[in-house]
Amino acid sequence: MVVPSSLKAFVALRYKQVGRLAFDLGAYAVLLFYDFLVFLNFSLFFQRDATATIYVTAAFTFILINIHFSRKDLAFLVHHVESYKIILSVEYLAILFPFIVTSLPGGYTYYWSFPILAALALPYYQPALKSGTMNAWLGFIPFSLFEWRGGLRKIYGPVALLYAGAWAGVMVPYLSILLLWLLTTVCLSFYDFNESISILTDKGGTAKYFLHQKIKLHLQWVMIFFLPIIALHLVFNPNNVWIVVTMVAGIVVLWVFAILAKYSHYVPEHQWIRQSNFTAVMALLAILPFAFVLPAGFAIYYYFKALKNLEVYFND
Amino acid sequence: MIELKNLCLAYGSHLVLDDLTATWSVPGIHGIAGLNGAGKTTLFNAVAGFKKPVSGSLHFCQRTLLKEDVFFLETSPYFYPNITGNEYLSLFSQTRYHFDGKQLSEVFQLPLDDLIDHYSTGMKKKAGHYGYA
Repeated sequence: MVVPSSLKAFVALRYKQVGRLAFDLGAYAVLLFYDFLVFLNFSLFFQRDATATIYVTAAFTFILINIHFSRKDLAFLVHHVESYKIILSVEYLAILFPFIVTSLPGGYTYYWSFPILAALALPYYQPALKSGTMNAWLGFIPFSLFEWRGGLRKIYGPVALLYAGAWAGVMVPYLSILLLWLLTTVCLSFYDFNESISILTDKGGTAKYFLHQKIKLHLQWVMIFFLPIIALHLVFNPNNVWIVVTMVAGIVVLWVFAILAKYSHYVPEHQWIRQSNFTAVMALLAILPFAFVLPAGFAIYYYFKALKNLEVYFND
Repeated sequence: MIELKNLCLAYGSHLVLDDLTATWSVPGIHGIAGLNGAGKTTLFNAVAGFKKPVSGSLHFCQRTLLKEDVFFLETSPYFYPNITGNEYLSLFSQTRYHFDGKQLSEVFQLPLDDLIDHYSTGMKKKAGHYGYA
């Protein structure tokens, strides 16, 4: 079998990207790897059951579709790299591979034929370029939550699915809370881009006042969306209240951490890719038992850093 | 001669360019002016092959315009994060036997061992040229 040279170059490129990311993350890379092993363990556990395997494979089919439709390098690959279809398929199959392997002991591996088919077929479809205003339905979210409006426009599909899943799973112990955590990890990418100075200083006041108001407003809206699900989940699952409360506290900590991380590195109309990666890593780590102390510790550190960083832009 | 014949371009139901016909001589330097949102970038995206026309056609020297005919530098060229200039070049040098990255590097004087994330805006624009070399 002849492996296209562009595929070799692309794999080498990905290998180097991952290596550099791991180097940047330092010790956190080890934790993240441990996190990945925990996910595989979950996968092994869930896929002993036929119905759960169908859910897992459906979720991965959806994840692949979402990755394909939202990837920024698609136009680049299509126009510059000859074997782009093979490259895309190999990349999608590599994502599926660990979870297909963990399905083997359960004996329901044949359900993975659906995501595998998606991995092979998706590269043949190129989403059209988009333009103009979309999603007028976002009008119910106030302008002051511009991160949410911008973020939802980009990834409303996964957000809507996870939120609907959290409602649907209220009767299953911990499922809704787990999905709300997953939804949080997705939504934290909303805070990747920094607004302009005029938007930042729109309400005036000091940096401290701004930060407090910002956190208060965003947590209020998180609670508007999350609390009904949490309450209903507790009605159906009255046992283990403290575990649920601890998980919800972890979710709240993640939102606060993301906002403070953003403003501790704020530069007008800029995005720090490394900081975004770090926020994503923290969000993923928070699923490990008691690991939410990490973002909590960083939130305290970032709070003071953000106050100092924002001094330049406010009347402090 | 570059020719656009009855070109229609749309985003969903929103028609941006309606029945556009134009001709430009080759070789030559031409400019396109228009109001914001008039469809200038959309037109260039269609010429580069990024956007499929709803109807109409694009021609170059009496035949259909091919991808190989076009050198298109996007407003913001795409670069993978955490890769160096040399690694970016490797994507092209592996697939094009006529690709001469060294020659381009001599012209542009880019620090190819540095991460592209650290390049200035101008350097990124220069690096964007490699995709069409």
